[in-house]
Amino acid sequence: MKHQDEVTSLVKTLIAKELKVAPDSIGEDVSFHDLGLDSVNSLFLLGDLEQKLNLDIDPLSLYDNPTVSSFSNFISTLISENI
Amino acid sequence: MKTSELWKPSNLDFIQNPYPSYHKIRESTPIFKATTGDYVVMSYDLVRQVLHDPSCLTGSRVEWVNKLQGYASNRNIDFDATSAIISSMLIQINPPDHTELRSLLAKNWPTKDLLSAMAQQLSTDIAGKLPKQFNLVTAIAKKLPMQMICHVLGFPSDQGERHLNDGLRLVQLLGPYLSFRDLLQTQKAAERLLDSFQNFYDTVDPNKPANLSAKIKQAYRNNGRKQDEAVTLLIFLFIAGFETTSTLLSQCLLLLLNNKALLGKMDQPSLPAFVSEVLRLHSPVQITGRKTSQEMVLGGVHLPVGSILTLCVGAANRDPKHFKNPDALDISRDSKQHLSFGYGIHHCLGSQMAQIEAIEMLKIMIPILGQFNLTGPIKWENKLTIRSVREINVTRNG
Ligand code: HEM
Repeated sequence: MKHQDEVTSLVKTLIAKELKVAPDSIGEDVSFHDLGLDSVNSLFLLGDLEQKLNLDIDPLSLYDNPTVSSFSNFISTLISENI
Repeated sequence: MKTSELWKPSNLDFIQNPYPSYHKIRESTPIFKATTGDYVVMSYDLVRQVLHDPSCLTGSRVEWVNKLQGYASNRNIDFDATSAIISSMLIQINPPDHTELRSLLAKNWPTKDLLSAMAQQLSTDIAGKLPKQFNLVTAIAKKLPMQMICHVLGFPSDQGERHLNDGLRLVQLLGPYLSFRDLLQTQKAAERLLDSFQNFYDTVDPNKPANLSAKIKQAYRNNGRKQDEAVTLLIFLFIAGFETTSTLLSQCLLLLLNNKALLGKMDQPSLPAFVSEVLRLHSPVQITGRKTSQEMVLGGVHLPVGSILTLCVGAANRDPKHFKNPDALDISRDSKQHLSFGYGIHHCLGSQMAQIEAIEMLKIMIPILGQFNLTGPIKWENKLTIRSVREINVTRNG
């Protein structure tokens, strides 16, 4: 079982990889749009997460939970529902 | 609840029955900005206005796939086949290239008589081979359109059958709500299709114009167009031709199975009106898209250049301002104005073919449909763009 802060750090690492920046530079309450993610690299992000966590994630969930903190929260809930 | 929260285009419950939500949204506003950044257009008048407006261009899905291709190549993932196919989709091409291609196709398109004879023959064969217990979708609704487009193109039907799911994957590319996993499967499908159609195209004899493929090959030679674009154009015709039509056939059969009183009243002269009304009520294509090339105001909303418009045809067709009592099936109404085949310069080239298929299939099925009963729940595909049925299981009495 993954804790939310583990999920948060995984999400930040993956976003950092997409945007080619350091994970620490990513604000947890800044919207994905403002961070610089677009509809294509957010798909890659979801694809990586699906693979790492072995989950099915709704492609629109990033839009409904548009920051690192809200999205990590969403993913943690999804993980606990899947157990 | 906010309007944008009622719009859940990737949610299976929403997809199974989107109409109550469409009504709620349309009642509060004919156009709104979705969380995905696109503007969703819900009313009949506005959807038609956008389809008619030459400054609202198509092609944003090609741009998107090309961007995907660029990003993916950094990760050594190849989307070349996907990009080649979507770039050849007539529906993604703007004038002047669109005008030229469309007229090339229109000139060589099969005639109504030919299509009717073909649909009648194929429907008879299909109905003659139905087992006692089967899935209507695969046994009839997918079979006829597949065999029909294969005949029109001269493409071998047994090969066509093998590409049934590949076609569905590619046509879903036109819709915006895909996951990365969807895209990886789309790419595999695209590679298989390219491979088969390339091999097929090599065998087509342009000097014997026996089918649409040969006529296209000849026209491409005469006009000096690139031959590999002819291959992907054939793939587009193959794809465009069956998933949408199979949805129409499924919906026609399902409505009659669920309404035996209506089935009893159906006669040949009422079939065209019935099919048209089913198209209005259950638009196989629920959403399509355009992009603004100049600033505009639509339904009171200011749209900057480059805005993505998601046009909800399924909602437009049930707009009470345009169709009285819009959720009711009424074959006496004038349903011809539905937008299920689009409107304007991209109006569906296969609209006649699709309606002929439905009518010929119904002529043969209606006399025996009373013997069939549903045996389980209806299962839907999980995409809204083409809202299609996966399973309608039935048994035959006696
Ligand atoms: C019930 C069945 C069908 C439905 C509901 C349907 C729907 C549509 C719609 C809505 C469009 C326009 C989309 C837009 O403007 O954004 C379209 C375009 C098109 N359809 Fe169909 N279609 C059907 C069957 C077929 C068939 C059988 C063919 C034959 C190959 C076909 C070929 C095409 C082509 C080539 C276009 C592009 C036209 C252009 O861009 O100029 N369709 N269709």
